[in-house]
Amino acid sequence: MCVLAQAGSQFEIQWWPFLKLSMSKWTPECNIVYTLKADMKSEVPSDAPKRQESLKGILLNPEPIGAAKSFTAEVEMIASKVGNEFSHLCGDSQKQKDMNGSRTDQDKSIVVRKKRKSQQAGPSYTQNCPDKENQGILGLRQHLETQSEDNDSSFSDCISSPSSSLHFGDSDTVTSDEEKDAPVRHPQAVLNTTGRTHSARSQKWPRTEADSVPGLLMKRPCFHSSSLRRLPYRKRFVKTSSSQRTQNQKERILMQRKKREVLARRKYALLPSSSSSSENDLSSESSSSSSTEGEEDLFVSPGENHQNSTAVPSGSIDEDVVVIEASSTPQVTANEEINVTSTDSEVEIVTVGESYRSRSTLGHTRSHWGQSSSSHAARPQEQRNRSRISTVIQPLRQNAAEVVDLTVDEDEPTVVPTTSARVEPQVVSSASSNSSSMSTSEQASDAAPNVSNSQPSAAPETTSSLPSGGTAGTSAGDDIRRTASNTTLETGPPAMPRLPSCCPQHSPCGGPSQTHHALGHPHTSCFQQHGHHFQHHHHHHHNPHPAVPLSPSFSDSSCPVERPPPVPAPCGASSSSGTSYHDQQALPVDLSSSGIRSHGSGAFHGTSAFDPCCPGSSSRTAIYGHQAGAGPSQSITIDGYGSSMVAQPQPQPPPQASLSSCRHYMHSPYASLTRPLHHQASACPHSHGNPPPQPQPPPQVDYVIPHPVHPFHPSISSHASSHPVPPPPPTHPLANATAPIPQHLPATHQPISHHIPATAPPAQRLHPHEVIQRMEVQRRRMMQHPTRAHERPPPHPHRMHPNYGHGHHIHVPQTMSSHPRQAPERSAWELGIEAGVTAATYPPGPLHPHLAHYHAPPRLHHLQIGALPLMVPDMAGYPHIRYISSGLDGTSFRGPFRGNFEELIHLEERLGNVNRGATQGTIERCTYPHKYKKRKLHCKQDGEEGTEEDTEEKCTICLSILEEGEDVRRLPCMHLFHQVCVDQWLITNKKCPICRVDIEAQLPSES
Amino acid sequence: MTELQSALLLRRQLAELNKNPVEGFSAGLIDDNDLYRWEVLIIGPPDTLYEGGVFKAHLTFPKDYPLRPPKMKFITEIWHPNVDKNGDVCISILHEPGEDKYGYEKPEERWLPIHTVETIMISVISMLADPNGDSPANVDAAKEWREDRNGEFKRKVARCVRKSQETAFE
Repeated sequence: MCVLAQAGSQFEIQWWPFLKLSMSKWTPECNIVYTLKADMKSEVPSDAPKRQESLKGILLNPEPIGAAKSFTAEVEMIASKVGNEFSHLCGDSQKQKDMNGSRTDQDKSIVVRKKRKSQQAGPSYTQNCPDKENQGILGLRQHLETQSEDNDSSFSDCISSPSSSLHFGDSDTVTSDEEKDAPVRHPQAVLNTTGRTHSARSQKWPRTEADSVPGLLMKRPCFHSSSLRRLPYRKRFVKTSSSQRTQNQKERILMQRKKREVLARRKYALLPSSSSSSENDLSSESSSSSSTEGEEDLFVSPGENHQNSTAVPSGSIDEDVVVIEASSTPQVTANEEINVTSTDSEVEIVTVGESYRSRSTLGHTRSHWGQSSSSHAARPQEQRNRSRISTVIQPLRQNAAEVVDLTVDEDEPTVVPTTSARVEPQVVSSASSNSSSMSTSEQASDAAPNVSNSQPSAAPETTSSLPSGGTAGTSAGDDIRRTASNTTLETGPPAMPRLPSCCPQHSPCGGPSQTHHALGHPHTSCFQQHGHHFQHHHHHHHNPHPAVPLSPSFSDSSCPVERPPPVPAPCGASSSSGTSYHDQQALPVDLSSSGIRSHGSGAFHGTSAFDPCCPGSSSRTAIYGHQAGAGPSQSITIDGYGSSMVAQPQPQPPPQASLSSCRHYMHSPYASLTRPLHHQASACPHSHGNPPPQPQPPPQVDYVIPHPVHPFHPSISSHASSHPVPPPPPTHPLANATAPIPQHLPATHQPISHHIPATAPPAQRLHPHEVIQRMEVQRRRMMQHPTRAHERPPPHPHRMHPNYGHGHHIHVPQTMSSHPRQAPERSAWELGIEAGVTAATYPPGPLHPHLAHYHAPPRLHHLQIGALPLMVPDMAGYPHIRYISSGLDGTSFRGPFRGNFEELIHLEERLGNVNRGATQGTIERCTYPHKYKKRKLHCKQDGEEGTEEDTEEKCTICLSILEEGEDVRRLPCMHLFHQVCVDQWLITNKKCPICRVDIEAQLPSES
Repeated sequence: MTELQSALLLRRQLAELNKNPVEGFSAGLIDDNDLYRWEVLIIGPPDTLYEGGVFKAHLTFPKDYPLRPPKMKFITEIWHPNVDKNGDVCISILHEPGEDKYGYEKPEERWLPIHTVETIMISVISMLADPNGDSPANVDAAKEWREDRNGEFKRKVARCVRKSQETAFE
């Protein structure tokens, strides 16, 4: 349970950063993302049927549904807030809601998600973006498929975000291949793990696909602009990764990709809409980032995976993504599960796997995973590569998973598998729940086989790994679900995996994104994760479930640079996605989560549970959740993350939530770890920003140092921003969503920039202390997880893992939970925690940057969350903060701003008028009135100019000669006028008619 | 007082201009009984496209002149970026004092009470010689002036110059 929760938290955490990033940068985009999500949702229905066929799809569906719901709600909120901008979104969201409503059944949502994932969120997203309003799910899918060009454009946009992910991958040049695999994994079902297992082959595909998919889904909706920005980067990264990948596994990848593409296409066709929709919706925020990543992946795939590219040049991204999802996702899922069980912390992993399973209709995911696992087995090498990736991913996925991943990553391929497995589970869960689940479940069988066929080695391996992992994960997930459906949902192990994977990709830019990319669903999952992260922060509880599903979407969106933004947007969306995920995993929980999700913040809260990100985010999320009214989710989140949980008090929905929170805690640590790993892997600011935040939060608690973090916050601002953004959302789902979005936007562009502008400032401003404390707490939590994150960069994952696992899982979150609700308490509590924790965690120098990010996010979250209630007023007090904090907020605040601006203009005009003239008093005070009688004297005195002729002076206003005895006024500038003449003028304009010098300007001198 | 002042001022200026004509333009009252309505003939500044033209314009002073600027309107058709197609002259010194709500003009470039018909005419002549393309009153003319100064713009100006010469002595 704890593990799951932690994983979810991790995912959430990761998402948070992304969300924040995305939010900060992408407030508009966020809206878009939401819309996209909505579209995705709409698409989902169409997909849903298909996916429904597959159990996985069902699993996936729940999350998507929830996500969709939450998204819709968020979207609506956003729309209301955004107004014009969101009108589209609102419409979409409503549509999606309708769709969701029709699908209300989790299965449907899952199906949709799967479909989406299968299609790869990317395409669907792209479709959504272009066709947001119009196209139904199917239509979207079709559009995605048919509109390869459009998708490309969207992808290109998305790619920009993906570029970030790619960047991550780039950072992890070595992992590039792995990353590729990772992407594939993601697509499958946030099967980063699977992708990792597939690493060489699947990863390539997965990355491209996953990235593309998530990116597409995420990005398309949200990231046209952002994606465009990001495209270059992502493309570059992708290319780089692709080049590497290609070298290693080009042939395999090509084969697999082709097969996968076929499968993926098939799957996507089915799944994309659903998965993408759900994921997208969930991760809509993250989706932006993820979408970008997805695009990147897609791009990469073209470069790397020529086969895929051939199939879908422009749309290739989508296709790739799709392919990845189809082939890799299943595998990934399986791998993840297997990995989880097999690898380091079996229990945790298992729990994760279970959580994932539960999330994504364990059975489906599992089955897929099983397939994927088999494929993984065939691909030891890939697994190694994946392991790296997985490490990155793991953090996102689940704490335990993350931990395992970390160890695995560093240690051995086998370990990697575990990590991958974890990731996969997450991915799967997310994917399964979302598109990944779809891909995994539906595609898993199809894709896995196909993949295996196309990529015999990779596929088999993945499949092999997947089966075991999948089964285990499913079983575990089931258990978890059963034990605590909420927790499972919350655990968001799926989400976590996704998030981790996504986060890593996203945050890492290259690695995480790739993994996400690899898993089209993974991306979605990533997005979800991201979303979870963000949402988790908001929804920590939800995260587990929603997180998984959401995380994928979020992760996807977030994963790409933009993920954060997406996440933000997702906040609502993500939360919704998270809810959807939750739903998938555990309907009851899902419901709560969904509610929370709807809150958006709730989802984040759940994420908060994921110590890493969650702490800060969770608190925020919790707040959101509370605000949102998703008590359960919030409570969970709170439990999971003390700091994050702080918000929980408000939410504290059901006991389950608490349980889930526990899981979240566990997850969160993992998530943090995973995130850190991701960060490390990605080695990109983004990753740090996104993932780190989550991990750091826990550490933060320990690190209390958050203070130090605070310093970072500025730098981290991106994360912080993302987090901050979430907080606002918590207060208001819309706000949350908006906030996340803005962050995402920034994030999408670049995590740092986004984070910084949006979240950090706002959060800090909002609740400097509280936020900071929260942030610290989150950081502490994150640190535990984050430590991993920190480790990532430095490569100290192992250390981090233990920490995360222990502290995060249980205590921190709980404490956090208790405190989170109450900002003051949080602060004190957090501070205390932070003091202890921070010192410990901080030690890792590298962590600091991450921490900074984490901290920033946490703070933001704290600010947002804690502030949420408070924040609202605070926000009101500090419109700037809001604006800065998150695009969403900005959007919401834009209205005020606009009004303010207008008012300011008017005021200026008024003031200008007022200022122009001088009062008689001022005139008298500033001038020297006298009788001109002495004019000659003046001449004599003044001048030596001398002649009396010259002495004759005119009033330049009346052009009459000044006569003695006339009342004249000498201005400071020494110009002389008739008092009557000049006074009339000075009343209207206090400047000298001749030299235009302000009569008051020279007062000092004269006076 | 204001009216007295404005009338007095205008009268003073008219007398001054009659006494000491300023090169480049001639000024007089449209109606000898209305000091607030002036008619000026502006000689196209040499070495410009407007060289040789004789452009008739009317100045309408407000009662609170010199606190507020007069309005100037070309009666003779003239193709100039800063003269709209109705003949209204758009130069900063003839704009009401204060901030330009459009931000194009600096306060110091606006109307001052020390401006007289002479200063206004000097500004207008300067405007003819050096149009301000940044704040065009005649967008088409401004566009032509920027893009095809020696083509279409020149032709149109030349046509206006010819027409002004034909109508100048009517």
